[in-house]
Amino acid sequence: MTTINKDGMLVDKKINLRRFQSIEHGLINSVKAIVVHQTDSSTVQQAFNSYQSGGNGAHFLIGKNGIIYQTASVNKRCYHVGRLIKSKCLTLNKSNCNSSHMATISAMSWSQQIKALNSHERAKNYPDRYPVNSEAIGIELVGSHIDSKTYEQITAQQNTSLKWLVNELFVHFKLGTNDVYKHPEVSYKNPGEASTAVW
Amino acid sequence: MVVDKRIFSILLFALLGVSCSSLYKGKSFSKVYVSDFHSDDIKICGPADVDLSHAQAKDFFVRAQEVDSRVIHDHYNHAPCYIEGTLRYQSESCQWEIRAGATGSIRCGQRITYFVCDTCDDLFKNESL
Repeated sequence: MTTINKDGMLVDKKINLRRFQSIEHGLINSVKAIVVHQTDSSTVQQAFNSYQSGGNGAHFLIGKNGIIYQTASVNKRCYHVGRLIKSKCLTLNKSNCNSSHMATISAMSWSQQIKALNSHERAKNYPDRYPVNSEAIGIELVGSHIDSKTYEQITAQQNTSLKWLVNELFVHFKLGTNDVYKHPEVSYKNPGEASTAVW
Repeated sequence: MVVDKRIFSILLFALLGVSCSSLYKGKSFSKVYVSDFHSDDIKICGPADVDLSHAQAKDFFVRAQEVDSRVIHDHYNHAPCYIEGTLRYQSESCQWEIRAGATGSIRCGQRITYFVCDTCDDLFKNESL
């Protein structure tokens, strides 16, 4: 069982600590969910180079060989979800949607619609909507995109490590399987990203 | 003489750097034709969301900037619908795709280049609203 130190880093021999403060952007309110990503890069080093220059990144990175790196404190917010979140009620349970407001939104063009849905959804609390950066831990799996619908297959070692890490985070933050999402479920991303991840 | 060689090398690398950063320098695309529309979710992303003429499709690629795929991955929305077609660039026949989120790509042979256009809102205006 891992422990979390005062800096928000998980302490365990299975986790390599490679913190990049350049991808930390303020405090996380409370961890309510996990979002699983793929990096769109083919090596750990390429992801590190990107993190070094700041901007987007996630809390954990898993190499193709299954090695886990913690790249940001779990107390800190990272930019990994995206600015616009999708509508959870439209995806999972249409009866939860405000039909008159949704009817107005669905008549808009796609680019207007995704902004309106984001505004509409952010007025709700998690879990009635998809998680946002301030409440979600991100796990990146190294892997490149192949085309507009597919990403590299996630390796068996990556999935084994992902499963172990997700279970550790479940215990620390009292989360369940319903709180883990693939990135394209939550925001508008290549549908192949993390599609072969299992936990 | 040694200095001259160094200067020559620096200039050569600079020129190579410029030419590698933009595959479609000058963007002299021709015969840009829209051939089809496709949507993975027609209920939320339909033909009106990406309804560009041949000329507008060419304009998109002229105005758009070439980016690494990771820029799209990190900073742009992946729209589920797109138009696609063909164009010619330097006598090579290529295929292209423009998505409703103002991202696109051109594939010439095995080489694929990605584009984003932050100044193309006018091309994606939904006239039905």
